[in-house]
Amino acid sequence: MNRHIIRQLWNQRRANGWILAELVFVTFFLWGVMDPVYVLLSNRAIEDGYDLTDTYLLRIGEYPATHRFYQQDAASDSIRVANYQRIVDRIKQYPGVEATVVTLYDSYPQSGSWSGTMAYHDSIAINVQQFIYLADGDYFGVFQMKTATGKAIAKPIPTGENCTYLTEDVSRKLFPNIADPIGQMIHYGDTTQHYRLSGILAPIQSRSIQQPVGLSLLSTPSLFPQGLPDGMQICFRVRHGLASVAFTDQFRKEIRPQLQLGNFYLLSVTDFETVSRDFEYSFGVTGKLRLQVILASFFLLCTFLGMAGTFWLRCNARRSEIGLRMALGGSRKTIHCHFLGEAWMLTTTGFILGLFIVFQRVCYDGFAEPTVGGNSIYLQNQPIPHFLIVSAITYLLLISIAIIGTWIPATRAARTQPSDALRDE
Amino acid sequence: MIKLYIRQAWQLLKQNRLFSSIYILGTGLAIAMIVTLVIIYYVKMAPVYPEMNRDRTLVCKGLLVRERSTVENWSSSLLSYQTVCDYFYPQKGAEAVTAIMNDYASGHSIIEFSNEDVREVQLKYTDANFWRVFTFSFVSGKPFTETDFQSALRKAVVSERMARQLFGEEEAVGQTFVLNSDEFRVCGVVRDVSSLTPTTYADVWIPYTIFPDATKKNTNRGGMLGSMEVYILAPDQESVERIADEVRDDFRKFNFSQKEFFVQLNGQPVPYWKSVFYEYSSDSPDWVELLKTFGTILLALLFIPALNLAGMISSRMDRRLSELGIRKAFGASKRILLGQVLTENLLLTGLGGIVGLLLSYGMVYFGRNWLPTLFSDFVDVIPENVDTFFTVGMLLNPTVFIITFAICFLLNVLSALIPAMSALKKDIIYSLNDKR
Repeated sequence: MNRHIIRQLWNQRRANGWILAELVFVTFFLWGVMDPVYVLLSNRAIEDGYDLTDTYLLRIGEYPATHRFYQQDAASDSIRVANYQRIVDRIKQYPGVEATVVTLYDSYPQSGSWSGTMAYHDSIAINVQQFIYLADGDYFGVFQMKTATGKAIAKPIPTGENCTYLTEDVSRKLFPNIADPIGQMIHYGDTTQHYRLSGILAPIQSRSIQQPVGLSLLSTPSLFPQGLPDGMQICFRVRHGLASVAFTDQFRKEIRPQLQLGNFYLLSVTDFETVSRDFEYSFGVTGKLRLQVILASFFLLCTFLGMAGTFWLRCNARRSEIGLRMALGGSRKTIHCHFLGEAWMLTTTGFILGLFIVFQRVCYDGFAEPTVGGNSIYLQNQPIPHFLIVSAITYLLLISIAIIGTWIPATRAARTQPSDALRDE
Repeated sequence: MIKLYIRQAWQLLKQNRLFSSIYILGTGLAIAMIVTLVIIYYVKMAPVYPEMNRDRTLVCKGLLVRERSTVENWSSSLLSYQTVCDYFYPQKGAEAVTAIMNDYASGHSIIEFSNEDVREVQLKYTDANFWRVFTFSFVSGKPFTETDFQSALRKAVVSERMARQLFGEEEAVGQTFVLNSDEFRVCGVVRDVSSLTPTTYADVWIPYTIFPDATKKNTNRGGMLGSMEVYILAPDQESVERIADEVRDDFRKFNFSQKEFFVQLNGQPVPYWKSVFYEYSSDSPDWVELLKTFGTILLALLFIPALNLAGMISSRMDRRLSELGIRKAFGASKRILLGQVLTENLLLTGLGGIVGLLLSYGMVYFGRNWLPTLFSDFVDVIPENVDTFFTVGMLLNPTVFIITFAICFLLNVLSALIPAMSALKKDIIYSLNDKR
């Protein structure tokens, strides 16, 4: 049957040439479109290592000196610190709030800001992303991060010592010869300020659209007036299942007057699911995925129209052939299969030719959305599996749309009455 | 002659309805995609309300300041008030220079409608020249003046929509409202601005002088960096480049005049259309990369449907061989026949063009909140209560129509030329002998 199909295709090479050229083109572009989709979606699918349901981000604003509510006597550093502390306490006491932490410089997951630093131990230095929070807060209670062994992290008992936490990969690199580095001292460039390693965390994907990077968390002992209020945010977790639009509205309404202390006021309170969604949107990832999906749909729709159109015309032109086959004992099923077989062979040939060009391009230009120095435990960072997976996705999409496009004309052709078809001559 | 072709083409179109509809749909789809792209960039670059002077506007969105002693130490950001005062406001050749500052409350400014009802509002801080650089149409009242601006009066221009929300049907000018707990007086009401023009989009515009931090001197990196964007209106298109050169010259002088810093403008100020691609304050856009991206997309959007259509035309040419043979036998030249095929086909492509244009209007309407940001690396999140709208001028304008027609023509030539040529190449004998 295969030889037969090949001969048929060759005999109609003029009509097939156009659709074959289209399939080659479509393979090339569709591959290019699916590549970033594959990388972005698989990056997003990586275990993130925290939980953002039922959590909120709250920001405080401060009236400028020209504001009618501005109080000169509340502008001193000590009063500002005291007022901010009272604001934090009021949020802690709000019914339903379970854990609260003050983060510095947007040190929370899915944040648009990025602070990087070096972590030092002996002569080893490692580049890490850094999250800073106030020591009396319950950072791990809010974001539910886990230790490398999968246990929850208890809120440390304040000892007056500076604590720090590292993700597994950083601690392995920083302490290559120490089996259990907990309790070791490290510093972040300032040799007068040492931190005691209090826990080792499971990998944390601080940005859902990127692969996890080495992360260090450290606590700072107390509020300081310079960072108030822009450099600090209040993150809190409410009782499981409590977070909803209604709760947010009610919380906002009730807490607003309570937080109006001195020159401070409630600037915004947003649930972290919105923060997370807005983060992906503002970094252009949502847009990129949408664009790729639109382009892919367009290419597939064109393929569908092309295959359907070509096979429609062909089935009409070959009515007498179909009639003859049936008269000689071909069943409707064989006719149907024959046309689908033609479509399959045509698409596969186009795909293989297209893939050859894709391969050249990838060798020359590389893959989309590469992660520099990415961890090779993720398939998207290994060239061969990456290439094969994207190719498989492209092929599956292409072949399904081609078969769907051929299905209708092929069914119609298979329904032909041999007597009608033969009389056509 | 052409009339005859078109009549014949119309008959053919009616004869083979299925073929015609697949053909028109295929063309329409291709054109819809490209025209959507055209509309998105038309709205970003061409003169639309209230930015009708875009063709003679220059933009500077950021600076990079490098330390001369250690070149690895640099910062980049928008411009400080000082920079604007020293290098932009005094530009003599310009008709008007304006500086715009985004909301310092990072989009969380609130208007109190009552004690219970508090809503977030889109806010822009600017100066008095803003109203000269951009062409707002005032429904009532007038903009805040230079004197109002200098004396930091709490005066505000509001959009029609905001005026209606605040005061209902009452006259808004002269009334007061509470913004971020402070009292403002409405001095003018303007026609609503769409969020598709983010430079000017807001519901409330107020002088930035009322926010003391905006004009405060900073000392970091020579005090050059802050949070303002500058828009320079040139008196005519000829002087655009001259003014840009003068600004660049002034910064060059600054670079020579002291030994501490080196300021990089990254080619700015640039004409408005170019500024659309300036997304990072530290760098100019990678034009080659942009051209590659858009070139590839356009190529794909044109060639894939063209191949599709070419296949269909080629099979149709096969059926018309005998007709072409007879025409040839009676002395019609190749050129005339080719012209006929292309004209006939243009009718189909033209119909596809209309379908495509309508489709693209539908697409931009349904995707209005996110389509315009598809190609950006960084996107401002549109707040939930904002509904993006298109003005009539953004959709119905000669540029979009002409480009649509040009694409039709291109698609037509691309898809019909080769099949028609190869059909005409056949000898008359074969054409006449052909049974179909």
